Amino acid sequence: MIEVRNLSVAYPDGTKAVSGVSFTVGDGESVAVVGANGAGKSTLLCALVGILPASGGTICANGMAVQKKHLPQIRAAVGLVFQNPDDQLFMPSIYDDIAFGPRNYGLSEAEAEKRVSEVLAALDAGHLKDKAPHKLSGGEKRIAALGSVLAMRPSVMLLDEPSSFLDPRARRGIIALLAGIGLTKLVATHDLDLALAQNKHPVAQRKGGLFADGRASDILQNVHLMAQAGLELPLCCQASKRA
Amino acid sequence: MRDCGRTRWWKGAVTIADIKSSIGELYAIEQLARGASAVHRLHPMAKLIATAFYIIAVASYGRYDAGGLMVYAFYPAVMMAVSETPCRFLLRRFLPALPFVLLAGISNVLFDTQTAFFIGPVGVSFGVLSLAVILIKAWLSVTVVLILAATTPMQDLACQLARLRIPAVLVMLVAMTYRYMGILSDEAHAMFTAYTLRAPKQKGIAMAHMGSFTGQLLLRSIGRAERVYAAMKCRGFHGAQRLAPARRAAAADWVFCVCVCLFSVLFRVVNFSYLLGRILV
Ligand SMILES: Nc1ncnc2c1ncn2[C@@H]1O[C@H](COP(=O)(O)OP(=O)(O)OP(=O)(O)O)[C@@H](O)[C@H]1O
Ligand SMILES: [Mg+2]
Repeated sequence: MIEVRNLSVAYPDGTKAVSGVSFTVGDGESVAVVGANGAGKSTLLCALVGILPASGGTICANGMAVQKKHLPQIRAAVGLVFQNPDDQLFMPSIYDDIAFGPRNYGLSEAEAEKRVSEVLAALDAGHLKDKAPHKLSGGEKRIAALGSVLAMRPSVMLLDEPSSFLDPRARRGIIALLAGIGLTKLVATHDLDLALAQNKHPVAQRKGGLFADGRASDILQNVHLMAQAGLELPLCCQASKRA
Repeated sequence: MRDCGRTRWWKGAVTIADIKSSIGELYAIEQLARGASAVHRLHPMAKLIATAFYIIAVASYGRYDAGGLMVYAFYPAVMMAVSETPCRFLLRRFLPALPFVLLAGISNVLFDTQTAFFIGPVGVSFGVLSLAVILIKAWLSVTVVLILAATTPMQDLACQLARLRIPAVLVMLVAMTYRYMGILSDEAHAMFTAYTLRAPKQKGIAMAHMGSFTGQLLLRSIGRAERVYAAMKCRGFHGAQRLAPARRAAAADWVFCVCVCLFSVLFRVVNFSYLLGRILV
């Protein structure tokens, strides 16, 4: 569960990327944060795991305030999948990369290996195990990055643009895959079909501030609201409107 | 991707394509290191100690003792054959070191002109002999280190260094530099490609753009490194790298290690080629 109250985040150069944002993601809920490029989605997710410090407001993840002393526990429970999988994968092989988190949390090699096999089986990606990250395609990297976070068995997943860099089929695959992961999820995206697939309310973000929070169908099909957020309606809705 | 460096439109792009290809080769070592031969399966610590002993023994030879060194070719030859490390790979890797080795030995050739022995009618001076010894020593040492690197993943080596009480910071520095080098070269490569695609007639990067190009490269790599570090922290990294827990060395590993060390010391102390000569004559 994540509770954000009046959160503001500023970069060292003074850019205010997030200001006055409040929302709650309940246990087992799946929430989409939608917003145009530069709306502050990535910044928001980074702040939730304490990579970027909040300049105002409070964040509470799994009952703990996001503060320096709680960071190890919070990061074990809240997994962040980065926008760019190249940032996420840094070990010599996918195996080592997925095992990185479990090893850091003190699991034995046998346990870590079991985790890796489980995750790869769940993602249907066993063939990637011994490959080097820099030799994978965009979609494969995306899957591997997802696996590296799933291996930590988080209770909350934060996903930053999980459908970017993907071809339509891989994108559908990821959307279905995410739907199958029964964890609490916060998905930052401007892929509105993906947002629509998140069963709970999306929150829309514009220039750092949150301005809408409600049911998926209400927000994402509201032409006026979407235009304000700098976004377009999902294709499926556009088609139905035209018909 | 490495092959791009050799296609025509890359000509003139020497520097960056070169960085890219040499770093690509570094990762090629890593691919080799993932083999499964008997040498690969030896415990990394056993290989590390054996290699160190071997190098010390070779380095301690006298400057004219070319004969004594000959037997030492045995160890790398066996290791190379068993591990199936390509010979071409080892030779090509030695080339960059060659100029330095020659530089170190060349002055001997010039100053030490006294004749040591004759091969037929040609007199060989002590200087030439010592140059040969330096070459052999360097070649043997570089080859065994390359074989070690080509049969042991970097992570395992770093882990063993840590177990040898080399300060964790240093070990981590090595491991991280190794990782970040790839990132830096990726950034350089991507930027360079973007640049050349929009300046097709130009060779390399114009001097006028060099400043901003390198500046941007630095900033981008720092940004990239920061994000990678953030991703590591998110998965429980606290600064001290927790490497894969090492497997315990088996008896066979120690037998290998002791044999190589004994071999190195024994041949160093006892002059077998001399003895052999005495017996045969
Ligand atoms: N390192 C940084 N330093 C200063 N400002 C930054 C930095 N990173 C991002 N910003 C600014 O913060 C704002 C929000 O950026 P953020 O990356 O969170 O957007 P986003 O919603 O994730 O966009 P996208 O959809 O393109 O990923 C942008 O205006 C951006 O210019
Ligand atoms: Mg973003």
